[in-house]
Amino acid sequence: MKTWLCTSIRAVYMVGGGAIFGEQSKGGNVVTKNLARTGARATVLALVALTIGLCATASVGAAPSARAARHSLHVNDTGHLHLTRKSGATLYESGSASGSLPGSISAVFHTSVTKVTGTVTFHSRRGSITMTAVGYPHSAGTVVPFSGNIAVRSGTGAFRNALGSGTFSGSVNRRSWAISVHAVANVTY
Amino acid sequence: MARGGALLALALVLAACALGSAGAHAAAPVRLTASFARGARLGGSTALNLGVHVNTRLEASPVAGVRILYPDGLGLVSSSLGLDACTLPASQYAEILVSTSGLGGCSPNAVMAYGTARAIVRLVQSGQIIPEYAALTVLSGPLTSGQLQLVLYIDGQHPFGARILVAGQATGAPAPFGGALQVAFPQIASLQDLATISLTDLNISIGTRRITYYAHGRPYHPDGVALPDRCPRRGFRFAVTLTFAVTSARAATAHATVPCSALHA
Repeated sequence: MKTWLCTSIRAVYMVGGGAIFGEQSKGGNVVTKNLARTGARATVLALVALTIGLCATASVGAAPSARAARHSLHVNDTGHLHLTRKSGATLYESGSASGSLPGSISAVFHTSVTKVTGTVTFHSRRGSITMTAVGYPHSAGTVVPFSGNIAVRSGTGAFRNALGSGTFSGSVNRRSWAISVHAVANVTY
Repeated sequence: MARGGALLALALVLAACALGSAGAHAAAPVRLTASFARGARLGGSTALNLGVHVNTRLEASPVAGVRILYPDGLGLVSSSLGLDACTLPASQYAEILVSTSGLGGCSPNAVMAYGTARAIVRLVQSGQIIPEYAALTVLSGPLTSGQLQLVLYIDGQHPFGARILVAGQATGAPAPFGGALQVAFPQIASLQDLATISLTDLNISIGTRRITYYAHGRPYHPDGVALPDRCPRRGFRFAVTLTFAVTSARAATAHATVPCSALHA
């Protein structure tokens, strides 16, 4: 609708607009004289500016309709994971999440002395969100507290093209490799 | 022309053979051996046996530090070794201990490896050289500045029977290695005017079945080092770097590989 209106207004000014800027057209001269006579030239200029502004606004407004509007989601979840498989320094875990994005979790962690890196995927009924994680242990022992950062990289379903970042903290039992984690992240999709 | 080219190629081959032969027979100041326990399987857990031998004829300066690098993908951290952290006062390190026994108050669940060590003791006054044999226990310590501290109990067996605590660390390592175990051997102040001690052999078995942990009072053997499902393309590659007390002595390096053929799929 806005696009149609803008095109129509542009067409009107293409017919008579040259006169406003003093071009030598017959009809235009008439319009110019009339406007000058009534002292409304400034009003017309304001109208032109307003129209240009309206068209510009319409153009910007059209962009989101071409691309899907992005939504935001504040993830505040608690997850519990258990070891499903171990391959050398790599741990494969799965579990469940509760909170603002409830569902299941699958994760792959690469362990080293100084840090743990990995990929964590939240699966919900609306789709999945995949994030990369870097965590740092806080102490040695059987139950090791840790914290770190997450970067949301991708998603599926309703969360397609998900992006975002956040933090997490939790603890891991090094005997069973059971993990409890609390994650907070801001995600757009 | 073709004959000249053939002769040149032959000369190059001979030269290469000569160089290769020289490299193979050249004595090295340090030698590293690495192996997994018999029956080790990919995807399973096993004991990792590491041996360092120092040729004191080639390097007379006492060893000041040992750094062993292990391959990326080897599950040392993902093992269930070192479930407790052994924290001891700094004053106990690099001193002859007379009052401690057992693990010096540390939990048995902190043990990561057992081993043996052999050192040459040079008496300063007489110049006499006496070999000393010791049992070795490696314990997990606290996590400090992103490094897992290690505690080495060197328990002299004979002839001196000295008991010494040495500090070490498990750290990260540059690719293609996944991490490193390092230990510094400081000169013992109380022996400085009497003798110098120089490490000649170090053998440790990380995650050996000899290790016993306790959970709710019940003993069990913790899983050893976790092996990946797939063998690395060139096998499991290890390296060791030694530094010496005499700063003019160059660091010595050696490598060892556990071939994929040594493992069951």
